[in-house]
Amino acid sequence: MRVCNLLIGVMMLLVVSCTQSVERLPVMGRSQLVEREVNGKTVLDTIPHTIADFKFLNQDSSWVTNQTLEGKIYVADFFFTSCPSICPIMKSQLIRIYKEFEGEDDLRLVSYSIDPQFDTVGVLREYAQRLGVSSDRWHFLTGDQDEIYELGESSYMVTAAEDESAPGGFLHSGAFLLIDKERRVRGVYDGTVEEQVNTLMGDIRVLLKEYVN
Amino acid sequence: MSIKSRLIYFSLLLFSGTLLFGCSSNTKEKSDFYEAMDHRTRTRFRQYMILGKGLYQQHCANCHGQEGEGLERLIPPLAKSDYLMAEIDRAVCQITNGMKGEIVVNGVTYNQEMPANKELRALEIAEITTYIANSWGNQRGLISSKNVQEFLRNCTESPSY
Repeated sequence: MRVCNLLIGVMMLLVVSCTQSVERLPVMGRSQLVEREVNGKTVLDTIPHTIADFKFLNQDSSWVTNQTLEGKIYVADFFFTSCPSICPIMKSQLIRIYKEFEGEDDLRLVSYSIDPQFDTVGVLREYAQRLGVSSDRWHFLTGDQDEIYELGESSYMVTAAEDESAPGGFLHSGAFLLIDKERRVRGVYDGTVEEQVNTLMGDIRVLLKEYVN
Repeated sequence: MSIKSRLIYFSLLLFSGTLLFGCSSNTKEKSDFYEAMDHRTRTRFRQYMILGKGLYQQHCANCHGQEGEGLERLIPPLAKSDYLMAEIDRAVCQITNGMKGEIVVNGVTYNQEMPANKELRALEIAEITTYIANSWGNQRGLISSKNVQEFLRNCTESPSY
């Protein structure tokens, strides 16, 4: 009987330690069900929500696509350089992440401008220089406004819209999104709240561990 | 004297001691101008500082930071800012009307547009200005709403300075 109890104890311990070691971030967004044929049989397959194809210019006037970010996890956000409301605080939080993961080559930051007409490549280059950050690790992107809004809403699940009543003329979310190497959304955080950004930094470490073999 | 009344006496002494100590340590950070203020002005100064902090956090801290530290070379600091402290009247105009163009703060050139705050009343501007001019190492004393009204009458038309 005692041996039995002990065994159960050991098993419980194993279960607990196992669940701890395989801490995984959720895969977010609505997955799609599709029918597929496997060996002549029709099966249902789930396709997770992923970031759609895009092609925008960064502050160096280089094209950035999903291929540019291949093999990297990244944090995405939406902003504009003349934003008087929440953008500077978001940028100061992103700088914390930038500095915290200085030597981490598998992490990138991607900031989409929602005012691309004003935020030209030149404006973004000056902005990045003033923040003291490099395009090797942090892309500031501009391009067709409708395409950026469409990508924001359908892929990153954030709101972005022109709104005359909002400060600076644009309404937008302060969200930071954590994207994995398979283009999946693995976390959403409020980029204006320091504690949430602390959580994000912890989650970045968890996500990076998924790719360590 | 009974033990009870002695105890009361002693605790009263202790209490007033704490008050005195609390006050003196409070005024220690505030320098000569604070010593020179009469009681009414001191009360007003303390009120301005408290209300100014709230308004600062609401209207200014997103860009200039909780501690007036600014943001890299993009947004200038207010803490120990030579530019701010050199001409407080200019700061009052900038808070109200916004500003554009290059400025040099503590030897660094900044060039980021600052939005206007037309909705703020003179009293609120006075509270904010008093707060930023007396926080994080800055020391200037009270900037009253009367001062602000006078400064605003003399602002240059152009929103850039």
